[in-house]
Amino acid sequence: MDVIAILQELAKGRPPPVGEVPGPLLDVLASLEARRGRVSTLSSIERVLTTVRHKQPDRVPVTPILNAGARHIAGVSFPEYSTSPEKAADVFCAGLDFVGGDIAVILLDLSVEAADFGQEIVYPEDSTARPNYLNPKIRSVDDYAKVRPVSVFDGGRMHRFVRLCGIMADRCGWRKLVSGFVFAPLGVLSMMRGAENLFKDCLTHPREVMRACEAVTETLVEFVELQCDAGVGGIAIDTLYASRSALPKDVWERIEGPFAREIARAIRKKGRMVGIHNCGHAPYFDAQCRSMDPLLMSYAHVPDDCADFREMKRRYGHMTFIGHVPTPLLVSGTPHEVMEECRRQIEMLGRDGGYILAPGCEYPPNISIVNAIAMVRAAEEYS
Amino acid sequence: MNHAGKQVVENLAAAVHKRDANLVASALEEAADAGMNRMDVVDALAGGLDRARRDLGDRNASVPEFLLAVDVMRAGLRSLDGLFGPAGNTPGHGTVVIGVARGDVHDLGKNIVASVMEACGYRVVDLGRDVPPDDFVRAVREHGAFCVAISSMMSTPLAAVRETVGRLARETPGVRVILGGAALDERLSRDMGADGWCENVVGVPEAMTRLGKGMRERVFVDYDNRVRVVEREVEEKPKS
Repeated sequence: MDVIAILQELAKGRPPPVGEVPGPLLDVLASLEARRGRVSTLSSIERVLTTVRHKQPDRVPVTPILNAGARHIAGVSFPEYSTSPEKAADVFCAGLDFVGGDIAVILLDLSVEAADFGQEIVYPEDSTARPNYLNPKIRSVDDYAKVRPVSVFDGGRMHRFVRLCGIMADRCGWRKLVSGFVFAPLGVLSMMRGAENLFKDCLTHPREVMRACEAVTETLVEFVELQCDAGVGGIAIDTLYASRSALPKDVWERIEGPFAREIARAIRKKGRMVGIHNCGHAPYFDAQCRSMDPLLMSYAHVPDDCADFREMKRRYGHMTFIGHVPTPLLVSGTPHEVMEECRRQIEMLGRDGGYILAPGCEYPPNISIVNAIAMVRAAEEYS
Repeated sequence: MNHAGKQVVENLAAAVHKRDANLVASALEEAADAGMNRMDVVDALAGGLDRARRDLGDRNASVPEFLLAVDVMRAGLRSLDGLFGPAGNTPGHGTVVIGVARGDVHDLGKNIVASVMEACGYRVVDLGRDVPPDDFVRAVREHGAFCVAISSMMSTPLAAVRETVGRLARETPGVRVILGGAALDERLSRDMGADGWCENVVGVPEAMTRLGKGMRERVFVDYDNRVRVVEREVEEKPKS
């Protein structure tokens, strides 16, 4: 237990790092909150911490991962959202204030890290930032050797992202849990090479890919450490390609597994919670657990080694699940249909904690926010 | 086709299936020496890719392995002119226009689907990614396509997908539209007015066949319930 780290966070008006508090003490606190939750309403942070200790909170925690979807509320454009930490913080806070939710998942887009490695990024008016794939930084297999670690302090997108995390941690204080985000090294490389080429390179030139992963990971470790120092309570690692939609399991585990482990270790060392974000089909929970030993697992689909979500709960119930309202339903469904789907999921997974209601991926940013409100209302009504 | 010819066909298919470009090159020379006609060679190469597609559906192969098989097949197709002469007017199943919707640049799924359509005998006009509705409409008219396949991996371009489907319905009546990509599902595709939806490449051949016959189509792989491929005809839609 790092008492100084705990006191430092308390002095800043923020909750202490969960990992710095001994597990038995957390269990006692969670049990007390669970009892209190039967007769009164818990705060968002109490609710989430009770859930991750697998005790029954007053209701299932919820996060619609609204993110860029809230920019209309704050009157912020996509490019401003992507480039200004202050404007992005306004968007995240507007979403939390107007729609609700227990966690702020600070995810801007998937090109934050790649931008600082020299990938040209475009900032469309009608969508989140993305790489210019017509001008990839890695044009051939030989270019992997040219990837070098970069400093997060150079004022690039990662630096601004860290500032955003700090602003959000300060604004949320004890109100909401703030989660950081990092795209794992293969994801970063795919932004610089294109997914199709990267996938093939993983089979045909794994050593070159791994060498680049090593350089990228050195930077990502610094990136997550700075997010932790900025005050986030946990960080979601996006190992997007650990899924049957992408790489074979053994290939993922060999190439990215060791680097993902390093990033997770850095987060844990700071006392923060390690989460994993998945949105591919048939994700490799077993391999991800071996590599990162996460506390929280976000998902959109059943893992490759489970027949259904009930089996997922049985096999991987030691983690807290975050999911899995389908994003196409959020686009085309009525609020009533969304609430029904939420009710179904809460009944299936919400018993005895260990479950946070969320979409399978970020809330679609260009649609009405009414279904985000439906999700929050469902968590309040059906728990 | 005699026994030797059948063996050459098998060699070609096996070479693509094994993702071995050298084997394809030597099998193509065998085919040329045996006097095989170009269409039989194309069918043999496509047969190899179809085996790879089935492996993908049966979970015996991964996406990158399939991509490498596509590369090998395309390398084989590129070398045909030198060995068998120019293609000329070859019979096919029709022309498909394919592209990623305006606002989206993720073309991995689109590329895979396009290669399978090619292997199935369709002439594929690939418009690439970030394609505006105008370009889809223009390409259909220019190439006389019977079908348009639109992909969207992100939710942000869904308005563009809807606009494209609507424009195609109004301005190119009779053309079938099939949608795919992570941002879409069967219901959303139907709501947008599409004739079909395909979750991934495994069900593409069947979906295309039925679309060509003028039927609304649903093809998907339900990973959540461990159902590999489920196909269901929704309703008849006569071609105008």
